[in-house]
Amino acid sequence: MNEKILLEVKGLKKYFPIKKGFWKKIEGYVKAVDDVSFYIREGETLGLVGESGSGKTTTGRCILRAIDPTEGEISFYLDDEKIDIASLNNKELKQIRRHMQMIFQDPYSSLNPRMTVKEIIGEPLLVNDVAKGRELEDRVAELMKQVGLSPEYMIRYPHAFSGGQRQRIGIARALALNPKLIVCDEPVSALDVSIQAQTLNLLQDLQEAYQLTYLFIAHDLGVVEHISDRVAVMYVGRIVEIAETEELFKNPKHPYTEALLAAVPKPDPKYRETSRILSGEVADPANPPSGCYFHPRCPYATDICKEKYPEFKNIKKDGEGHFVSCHHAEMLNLQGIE
Amino acid sequence: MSDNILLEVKNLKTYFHLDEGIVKAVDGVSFKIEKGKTFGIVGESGCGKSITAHSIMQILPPRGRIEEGEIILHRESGTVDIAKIKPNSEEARKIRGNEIAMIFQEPMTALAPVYTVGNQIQEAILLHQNVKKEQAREIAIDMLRKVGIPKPEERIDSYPFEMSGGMRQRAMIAMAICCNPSLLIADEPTTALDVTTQAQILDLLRTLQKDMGMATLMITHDMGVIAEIADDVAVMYLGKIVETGPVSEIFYNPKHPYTIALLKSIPKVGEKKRKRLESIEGMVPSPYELPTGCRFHTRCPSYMAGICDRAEPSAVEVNDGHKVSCFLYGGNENE
Repeated sequence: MNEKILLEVKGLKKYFPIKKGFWKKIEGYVKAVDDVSFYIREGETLGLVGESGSGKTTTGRCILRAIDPTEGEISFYLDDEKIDIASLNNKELKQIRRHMQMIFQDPYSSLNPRMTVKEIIGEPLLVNDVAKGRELEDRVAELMKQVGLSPEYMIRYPHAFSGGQRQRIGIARALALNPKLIVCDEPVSALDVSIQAQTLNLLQDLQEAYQLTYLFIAHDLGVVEHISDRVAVMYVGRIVEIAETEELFKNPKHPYTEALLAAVPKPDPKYRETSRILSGEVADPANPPSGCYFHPRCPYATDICKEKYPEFKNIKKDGEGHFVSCHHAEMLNLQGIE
Repeated sequence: MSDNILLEVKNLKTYFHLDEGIVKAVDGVSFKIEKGKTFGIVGESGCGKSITAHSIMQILPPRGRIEEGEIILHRESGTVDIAKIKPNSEEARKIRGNEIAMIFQEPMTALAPVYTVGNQIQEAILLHQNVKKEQAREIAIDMLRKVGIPKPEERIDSYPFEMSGGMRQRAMIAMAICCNPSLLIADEPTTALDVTTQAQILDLLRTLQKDMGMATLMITHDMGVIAEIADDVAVMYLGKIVETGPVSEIFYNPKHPYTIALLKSIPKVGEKKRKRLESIEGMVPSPYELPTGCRFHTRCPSYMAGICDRAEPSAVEVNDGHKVSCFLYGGNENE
């Protein structure tokens, strides 16, 4: 990993309008992503965790401009040149997209059932005029070998493959154009544990071999801890905490992170019934609570939490820092994982 | 000892007769569930864990059939072999939803979208208990309160789509426990839920079990959930139980190479990061072409040529109540 920043997101917002009635009058907004800022260094893996509806997938999609952000700056550094992805037009986007790719969650719905594996993996090469004919076939074969698939299966259709193999096809497709950044959106959550381990190992090997940078979106904390250098925790459209993986897991500073860590069922019976249970439900992003969004569920909440949204501040000056959005971050002594 | 047994599954075989061939989804599974205890079945997709549960409930899909074996339910009024009853008979209906209830993975698809939650709970009560409609509503409200739904008097008239995933799962649990079943089958009840909600639901299941004294059959792929809730565990692979025993034995003293590999392949929270995970090579074989001998031998790190691919290992008791089917522990002498 080096010091160079590859991607920097500043004040990213994505509001989805809620339309009602015949005239589709806008009644309000779902603030799916609300003022999110972070950076990813070259060759690094940033884990993005949160529960469903926290906006982690929307963040990933905004970065790739699969959907257009409402506000904010997404800077992508390519050969020391800064490109603001949020303001590119379609033609410019096409140029930049080959440097950033995505791996999807569901390997059953993310591959076109009417295309052969060769067509699926070869499509990005064809679209971008990188290769065709014989050359294309060679490149596809090479990509398939890289992800551990046998090139002789090139002429088969996705239905002939198992879930883990399909996910490998998806990974090969993402790799086809030698991208710098790969947004992995829950790449292993649809897979069985044994296949999940294989896929995680593959992603790590590929990262080492090609100096890939990952934005790794997942809800499984074990997986995120395993693969990430740094982790960002999202709650109702906002990042509540970012720190280096070990720091975040050992020494969480946001009560929500603490609760998340406590809620994971540990595969060891001795931890049984030691987990404290967070009451209540995730807030509605269309109508979030006042002040800190987490205060109705937070065991440490005080009056100020109900009134003011806490500032996102760095509380650890050395290393990569430890950013947290909680009024009491410095006072609380929260429990992490040993 | 035998007084304590609630359900006994003996050599259960459930096959699917498809055009492509016969799928032996469950192939000779035996286990016992004690009264008031939680029995966990863990395995990857396609190992037959859900079909085992569906066989007990007698709700197999049209092509599936129980070919062999017994499912014996012990109750105060005597024993009954569920495998021998016709799935659509009056007797099966009396057991299903009354003595044995089930909750499913996806509460949105398991609940009917066009009826209110209260309606659906009352239906179960009216079917199995001799009460009037107003009383049924009272019981339903009580049940909703028991599973921790706030303002149950109002929520009883909500439709499933008006509730969140966690609330829907609670409503489904309320429906399952409204007739005071002696066995609750939970088929991946928390898989579709977020971690904080999952912790709430597991806690709820634990509390209910303590209060009502029912036994639970927990079907899951998640070793974490098993560690959290089960008393006894069976690990399944391709339609067979490869290892079974008390939860502490399975986690601290696993014997079968599959169990060992499964435990190692989970990225655990709090473990040193960035080292490679130990994964199981290859993938689960096709159910149409099952390997000969031990079904795990194609992926097994301790595969012994000439032994493992020849015969099927039988279960060997390695410790009190801890049985493993593997030739490493002398699976061939027993038969």
